Amino acid sequence: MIKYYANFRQNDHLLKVLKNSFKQIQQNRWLILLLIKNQNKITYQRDIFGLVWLLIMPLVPILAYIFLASIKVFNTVQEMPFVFYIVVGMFIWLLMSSIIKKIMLSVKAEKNILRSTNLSMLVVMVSKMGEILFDSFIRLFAVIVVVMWLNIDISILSILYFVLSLVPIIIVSFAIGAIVAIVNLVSHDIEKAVDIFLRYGLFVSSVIFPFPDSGLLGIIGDFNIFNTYINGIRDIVFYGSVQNVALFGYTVLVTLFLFILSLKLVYIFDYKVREYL
Amino acid sequence: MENQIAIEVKNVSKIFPTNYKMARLQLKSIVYEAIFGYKNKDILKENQIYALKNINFSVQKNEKIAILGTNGSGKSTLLKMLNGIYMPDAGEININGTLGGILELSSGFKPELTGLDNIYLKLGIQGKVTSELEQTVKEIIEFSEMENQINMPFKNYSSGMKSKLGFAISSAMKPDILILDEVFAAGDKKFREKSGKRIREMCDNMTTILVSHNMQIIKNIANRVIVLKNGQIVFDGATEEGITYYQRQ
Repeated sequence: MIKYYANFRQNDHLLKVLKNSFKQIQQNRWLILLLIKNQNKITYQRDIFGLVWLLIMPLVPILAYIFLASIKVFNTVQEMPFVFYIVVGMFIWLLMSSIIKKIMLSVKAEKNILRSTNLSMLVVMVSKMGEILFDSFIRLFAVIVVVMWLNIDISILSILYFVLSLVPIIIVSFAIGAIVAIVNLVSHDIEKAVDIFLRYGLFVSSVIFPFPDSGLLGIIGDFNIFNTYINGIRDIVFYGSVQNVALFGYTVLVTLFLFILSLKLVYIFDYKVREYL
Repeated sequence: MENQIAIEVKNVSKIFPTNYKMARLQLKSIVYEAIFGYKNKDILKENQIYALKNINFSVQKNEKIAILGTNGSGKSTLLKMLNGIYMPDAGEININGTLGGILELSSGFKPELTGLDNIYLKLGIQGKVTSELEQTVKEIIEFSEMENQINMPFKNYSSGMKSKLGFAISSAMKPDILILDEVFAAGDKKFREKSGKRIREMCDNMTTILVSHNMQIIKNIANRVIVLKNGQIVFDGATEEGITYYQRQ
């Protein structure tokens, strides 16, 4: 029996929220794959070069920043080859920013379907993230090719660590995207502010040059979870371990908190906002 | 709830904003409540209207109910609430059984995708991923009479073709409770006869709630009529009396 009431899902405890969210993803896995496939079809059906653009698009900014670093426009890290620094930083930044942006706009993008069916918002968001993960898998291939081409000494184990360390990045990006998607329904200013951060945030997140780690800027950098993750993952791949374990651990805890909050909000909002879309 | 009751609507109200500013305020309060707890909202504020007010009725299993009312009386809002697309602002709705709706035939499609892709998409949304999926898709294409156009982009379909495909997909479901919203005008004359026959067959075995402005169809299908006016029930009774009441308004 289904029961709908005014405070539907409002008072459900956290365990129920998590259980229901994962069950929903598990039950709709076929639909999620279908949505990803359909979106890729829509995106590339008019291109002659199709997926080749997926490789070219991220490579262009990476190569541009490599060029700028080679002519000493940016400060680089002494111990780390600057090409490695930029390639890893850009890959993580592109992954985070595209997941956040795609999920942030997902509810608006699918409003026609959400308004007339009971397709779950969580399923829509996960499918949008799936599209980015598909793109990123191809980008990762490009990153590995660049690293190998430049003869940077990276072990297979480091590449494995790198892929594993992307998990918290994916989770925090999903969480931020989902929270912003919901708040964005109330005020579109949020979308614009996030868009500005995603365009220029790479300059304060150690993507193409190191962000100061002392003084006031150092404190700001510690609060910037993008900065912490990008530095931490670089450390994992290059040195084999995180340099600032306490800060990295705190950032993982913040990630978990944001993830649970985003699931709870999506869980409640799924049945509350369709008339406002 | 007794087992013989398929749907029970108890003291249900739905409030809509009348302008963007109020819509934003309502959304803000939902965000606030999601974090700090629910507050009863069944009190009308400035720039709000009742789309539905204090609605009470129940539907027995296998009963066929028609909902009548002028435009803006709250029929579609009520159907969307039964479907779980909108939530009540007060009261509760109990649904006993699986529910399938044929609402807004040509909506919910992706215009850039082909008709075939849209069939899979709609069936996926309805959770119809079974071993007989391919067979269901084949039946939908056959019923919609669109074998030659099924690989065309949906945006290139005429409105009649869109409705035919929408009807064929929605009517491929086999729910316990069927909700029909103005679906009797899909396609050309031949298709209307075919779809009318399918609806009658479906209604025979299911609890049905239908909305239509075609009184003949209501007489043929419904055994009870509810008349809505300004979001409130003003009549609930036998079909003939209900139609007369509605036409007198």
